[in-house]
Amino acid sequence: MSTLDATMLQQRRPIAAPLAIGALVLLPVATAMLCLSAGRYQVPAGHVFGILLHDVLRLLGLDPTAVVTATWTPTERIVVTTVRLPRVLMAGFAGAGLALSGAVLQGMFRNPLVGPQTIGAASGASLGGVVAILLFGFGLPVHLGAFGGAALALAAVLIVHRGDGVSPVLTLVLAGVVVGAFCSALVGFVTFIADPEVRLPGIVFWLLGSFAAASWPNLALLTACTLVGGGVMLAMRWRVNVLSLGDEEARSLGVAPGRDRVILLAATCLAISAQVAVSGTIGWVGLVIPNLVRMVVGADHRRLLPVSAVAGAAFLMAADTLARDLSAAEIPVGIVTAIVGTPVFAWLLRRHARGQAA
Amino acid sequence: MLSRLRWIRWGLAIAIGAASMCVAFGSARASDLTDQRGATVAVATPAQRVVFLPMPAPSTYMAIDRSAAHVAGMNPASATAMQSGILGRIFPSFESIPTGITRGAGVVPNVEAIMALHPDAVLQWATSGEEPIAMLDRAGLTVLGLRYGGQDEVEGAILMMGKLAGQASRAAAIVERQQQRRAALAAALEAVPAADRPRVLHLSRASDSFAVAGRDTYADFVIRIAGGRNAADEIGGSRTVTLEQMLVWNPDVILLGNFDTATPDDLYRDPRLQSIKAVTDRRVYRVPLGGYRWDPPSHESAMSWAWLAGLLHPGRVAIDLRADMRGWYTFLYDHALSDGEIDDILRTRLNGGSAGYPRLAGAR
Repeated sequence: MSTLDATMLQQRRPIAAPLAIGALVLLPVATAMLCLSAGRYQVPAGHVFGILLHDVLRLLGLDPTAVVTATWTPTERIVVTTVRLPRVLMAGFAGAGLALSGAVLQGMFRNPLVGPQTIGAASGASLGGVVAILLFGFGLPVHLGAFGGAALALAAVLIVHRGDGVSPVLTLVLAGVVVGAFCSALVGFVTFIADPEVRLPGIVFWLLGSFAAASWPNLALLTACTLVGGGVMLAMRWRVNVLSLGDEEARSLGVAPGRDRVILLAATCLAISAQVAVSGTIGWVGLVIPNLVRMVVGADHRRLLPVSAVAGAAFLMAADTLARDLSAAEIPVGIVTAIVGTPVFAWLLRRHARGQAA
Repeated sequence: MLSRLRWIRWGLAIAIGAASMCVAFGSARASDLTDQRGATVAVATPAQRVVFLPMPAPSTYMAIDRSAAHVAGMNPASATAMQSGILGRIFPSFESIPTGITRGAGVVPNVEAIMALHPDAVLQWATSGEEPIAMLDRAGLTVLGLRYGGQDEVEGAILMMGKLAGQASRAAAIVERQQQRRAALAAALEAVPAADRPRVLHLSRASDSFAVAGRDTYADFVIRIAGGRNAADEIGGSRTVTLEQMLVWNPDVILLGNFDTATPDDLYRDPRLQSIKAVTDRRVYRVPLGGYRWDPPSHESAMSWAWLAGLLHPGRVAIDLRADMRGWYTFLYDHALSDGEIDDILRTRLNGGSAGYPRLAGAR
């Protein structure tokens, strides 16, 4: 994979650090502000800003009345702080977790076509989630089911993988694809036997991916898992660089590729299953965003990982805003990301093929 | 010698043929029924063995037939509904009716399993696409197509099932009682000005996401019959909507359907819904579940119209719901409802904390 060659790692010059960090913080914050101002219920942008400022000051223990006067209605406040804010933040954390996981997986397996779906974790989480919905309905069981499903899928992948010492990366990806296909078949089986009047509509909607069930408790769960999983991934960003050079080079540089891969896989599994648990399957973000970012900042994971996280957050917040605002109906966000993601990915592939032909 | 043998054989064959035809004509009358896809179907009536793929149909048939004896097979989801509702108690023999007639959950038939039941007729949705009904036709089964979308279609379905069961006049009586109720409600609510008609939102799903019934749905029809306005009438059909859209509509009354687990208390507790008028006024009600769910159309629909009209216009529609339900259940099932059964059907426990419910349900 030419984009991941060692020489590429040095190709880009480091951007001035404060400027880069500023941009990294500003992009998701600005996107979040825009998304918070958009919605079916009309709330003037000034009110949105005022409500947020008011609540932040109150949270900090300061007196908000000295700075802002409450000109908004109680309903507007509910819309902004109880309906939109957890939803926008959830989309942000989910997007960051997915893009980060995708970037790590692509680096680790030295293949830009790998995404959260490839290692079986997303499919395993989907399976665990639909089984939980089938048996217990929505709520906490779905979270536990998704975590359990993702962990089991990952364990299955690792057990299959352990047998092969010759081409570990290939077997790992292959095992992921096989386990993923197995889980997808079982998800199909669950939708086949689910009560079509009571359970099936909920399962189908959840599988298509949506942040409709956004709430503060869901957000807390997603945030905790994304911070832990994402923190591990970001902390190991230079190790991803080493892994992306191949196992031989990694060993010669004193890195244990097997152990690092397991830790990184566990971290991606945590982030992905948390996202699936709160919002169902959302494709394309983990696949497309890291590829797009790599074209801009290069293949050095020390830059690629944080930028992917930020870009993923901004992308999914924007996509979900479209999903909830284009019509009165709630469009599953997985459909929006796929409609945007497919042409982008097709274009990437063509560009890649042309690059190789040249 | 040889020719005489042949004559005897011919004679025997003719005699057997004539005898079997006599038996066939003697046991049942062949009737031509026009089903709800418009096909003319020859069926032996009264049908002794009927298989039902549409979930609500067997409960309607059992009400018309006043028996579960002629239901030879039904959808597993129908059995689940009977198990959880009152119909299972009225017709306890439902438990022995075979349910292995579908492929997976849904209405895709397991043709061989249905053939093994030797049905006189198979009822199948005429609204689920070509294939689920064509599969049965190809197998040479006698298939009747069914539609349950609007009130006219349900009335047609009841009349068709009446002919099938050899109970045409009873089916006509059920339809007539529904029409009388409809006319009575229309007369009582005719003069209500638009401003006094509450804006009602019917949520078929509210636990994971919010699915509303828009125009052209049966819920829309029921809301209008009961003197309300559908808050979601800008949407056609049934749709999942955003939470913000519900805040925009701000309905006066919310109905929670029976295809979901959400209860009024779930909505009263949801911090996101606290500015909706129906929540602040505590006018969220879970739709009752009787012989079948009261949200989709059925032979019990007239009771659901009265229930909603009583909630929306307590001053204008003076109805003793308990007495009304007792009358209907005696008429439909020959069953005397106990007070506990009425409370179960009306979901008094779930709805008891909502405005006006104790009065409507006639607290004992």
